Amino acid sequence: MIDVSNVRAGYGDGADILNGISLHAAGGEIVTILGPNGCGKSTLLKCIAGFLAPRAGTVAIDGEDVGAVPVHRKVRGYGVGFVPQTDNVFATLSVSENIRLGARHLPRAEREGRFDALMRQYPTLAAKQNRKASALSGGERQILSLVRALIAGPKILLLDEPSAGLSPLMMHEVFDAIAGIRDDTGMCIVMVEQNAFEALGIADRAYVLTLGTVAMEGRARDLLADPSMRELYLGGSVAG
Amino acid sequence: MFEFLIHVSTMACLFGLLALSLNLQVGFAGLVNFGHIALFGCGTYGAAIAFANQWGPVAGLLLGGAAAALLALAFARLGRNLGADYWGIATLSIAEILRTFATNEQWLTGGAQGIHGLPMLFGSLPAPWGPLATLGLCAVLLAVCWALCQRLVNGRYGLALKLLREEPQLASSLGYDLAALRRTPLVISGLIAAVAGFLFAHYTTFVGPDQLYSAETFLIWSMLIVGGLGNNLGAVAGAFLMQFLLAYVPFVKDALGLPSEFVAAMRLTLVGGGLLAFLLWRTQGLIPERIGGRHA
Amino acid sequence: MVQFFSDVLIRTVDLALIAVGLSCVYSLIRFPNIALVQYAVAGSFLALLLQGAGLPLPVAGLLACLLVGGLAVLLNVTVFERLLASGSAIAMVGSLAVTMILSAVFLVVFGPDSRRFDLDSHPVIRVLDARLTVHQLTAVGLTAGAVIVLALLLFRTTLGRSMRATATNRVLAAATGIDARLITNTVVFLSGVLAALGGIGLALKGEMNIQLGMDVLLPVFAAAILGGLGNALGAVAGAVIIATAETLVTNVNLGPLVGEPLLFLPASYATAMSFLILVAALLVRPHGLFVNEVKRV
Repeated sequence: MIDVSNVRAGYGDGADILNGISLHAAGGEIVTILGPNGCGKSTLLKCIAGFLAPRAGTVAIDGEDVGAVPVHRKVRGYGVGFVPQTDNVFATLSVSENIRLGARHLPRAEREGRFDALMRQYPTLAAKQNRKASALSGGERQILSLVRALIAGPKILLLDEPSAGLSPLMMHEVFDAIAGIRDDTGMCIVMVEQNAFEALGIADRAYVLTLGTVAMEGRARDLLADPSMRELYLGGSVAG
Repeated sequence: MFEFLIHVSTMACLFGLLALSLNLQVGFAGLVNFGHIALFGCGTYGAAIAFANQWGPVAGLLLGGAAAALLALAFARLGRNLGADYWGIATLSIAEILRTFATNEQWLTGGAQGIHGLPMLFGSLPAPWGPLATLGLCAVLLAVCWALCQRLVNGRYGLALKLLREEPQLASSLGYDLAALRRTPLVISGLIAAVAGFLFAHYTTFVGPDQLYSAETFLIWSMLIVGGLGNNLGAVAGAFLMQFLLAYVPFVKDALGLPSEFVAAMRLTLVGGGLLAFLLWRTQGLIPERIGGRHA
Repeated sequence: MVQFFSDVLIRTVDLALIAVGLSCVYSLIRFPNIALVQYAVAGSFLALLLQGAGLPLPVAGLLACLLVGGLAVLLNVTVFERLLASGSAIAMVGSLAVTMILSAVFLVVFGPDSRRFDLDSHPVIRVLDARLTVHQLTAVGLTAGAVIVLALLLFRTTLGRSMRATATNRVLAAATGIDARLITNTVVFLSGVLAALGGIGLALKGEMNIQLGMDVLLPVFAAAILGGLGNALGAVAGAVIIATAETLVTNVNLGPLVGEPLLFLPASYATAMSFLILVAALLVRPHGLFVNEVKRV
């Protein structure tokens, strides 16, 4: 579904952060992008989402070159859902307003139907629907942000470090939710993560970036077993 | 015409001093001061109050300098918690409060009428020597201040100021005391502006609150932007250019037979238009800043 | 006493709409747009022109507001969006330059003299103990109406929710499918309309001249900052506070303090008072008096 080919990109007049990256992600799988700080993983995700246009190479969705399409049009016209890192809810709006904003282009009946379905699926959020988003805990905000992206019924979900700032327990809940989304809907999910071990636990395939290029790629379980992977990212001899 | 040229040149020198002083704040320290004219006003009113109380011109200079230093410190204290644009509004407000005070407090400042009859610099010399001597004095002072500003800005201190302007967080993490770094250019800037005010008062022999309208600060801003921010030579060049342009507006009006509103409108267009044009298309001004200073 | 309250009300109405416009648009454009007060002047002068061309005043006023809204968007797209790339301080200096150019235009087109709308003169009416003209009441009604419509728009419509969302978190808004640039320019248009309406209200109650904008600049800023920039309804509260302070300053008899029967501060100290409040507010509570989400000042 998503095809990134030899993309170079950077911010403003600055140097290239992505130095020729190629990536592929299909429906019904979770692809995770890993790597140390500054390797360009968030930049890659922003490029796919449309916050940044590639300076060279192509970003394609279902074969169509969408490199120049800005975020808001990708969301509406191409079924892309994007969940930013941290600061990812509208703090001044209520939980239900946050969610409904995600579907504001849908006809009212459909929007309400989806809203009710999601509320049944995420009862903890439902209980707090009229409270301001700023009153939620970190983990609850993460789920809210996910739900906001889901109500639009995307076919592609882009997640920027969903576990950032969360306790290990919350992180498991969020990752379980993400895996559940893949299983139930067959969405294509691309997830940037700092937490390599946990991410590989739910992913199907992974790319490891360094300094703007792909250093390693493959199936998640192969990478988990790979010794150099273990050395670099999984803390030496942690059992897979 | 000769006398007119001397007059415009003298005013240009005085505005050059004001431009240099504002440049210390804006161009080098990144402080967006919209109340700069109040520092100038400390100088003019220092001279005027000393005259009204017969304390002598030296006392006037000292009074103006002290007042400007105090006001500059107050500005600096304001800057502790405010972003650049808000500090601009705050300084504008303070300047307006001071102007209102000067307009109303008759007993101290002569109220809206101001104070007349200050002794003119070199007044005892016959024309054209008197005005020429004044021009000479102002030009010399301008050169001295320019040299002072250049030394300030090209040394280690200047680099610290540039860091304050570009990366304030980095500056404080390197151990620079941001508050002190902000105070010094402000106080020096205030003193220069006060000297300009003192000279202005003893040149025009009249001091009044109408000289303190915010429009004057904006005029000095246009001189900086047209000449090139962060550049002492540019500040002076901008001052001369704008002052001469504005001085010739009445002649253009007469030559083209336009109504008198034209003068004020043309001045506004020159200042505003110049500002905008250079902001949009030539942000480095007429004389671009040399990155890296003189060490490179 | 009632006269005091009506004076406060009238002064509030002078400032409220422009302050609301400033507050609304700030959270989207992220710099204080000084030219907004000139939009108020433009609104009143345009309405005057259109009335002179034969249109009834309400139609002339409405058309003037829409035109000024368009002007605001035009200036935003051609000038301010570009300047913002260099930072908010540069954009503010640019808005200053625009203010000056607009002053020059007004001077040339309308001249330095004061003008009035062509209105039927109505007798003063007495409400309780206060004396008010019908025109003052009209201005109050217009202001209240505009504020209510704005509140409904912001809190009850999808467009309003999108505006509040974009103001709170621009990146996230884009990720939600909101066209942030379009929403920003919509709010810019609204702020122009509000400012123009405020200017017309000012002119209804008295005269209009080209100095009107600069005269209200700092009090309007004070009101908007007190209310918390980005908090449109807070700006109304801010206007009330500024109006109260200004009215108090000139109505309070300081005589007893200095042993004289009567001592009042001169009228120009009223505005100096609002500047003082502004500086105090910036020092003590730069985010406004109410809890507010605009984080930077």
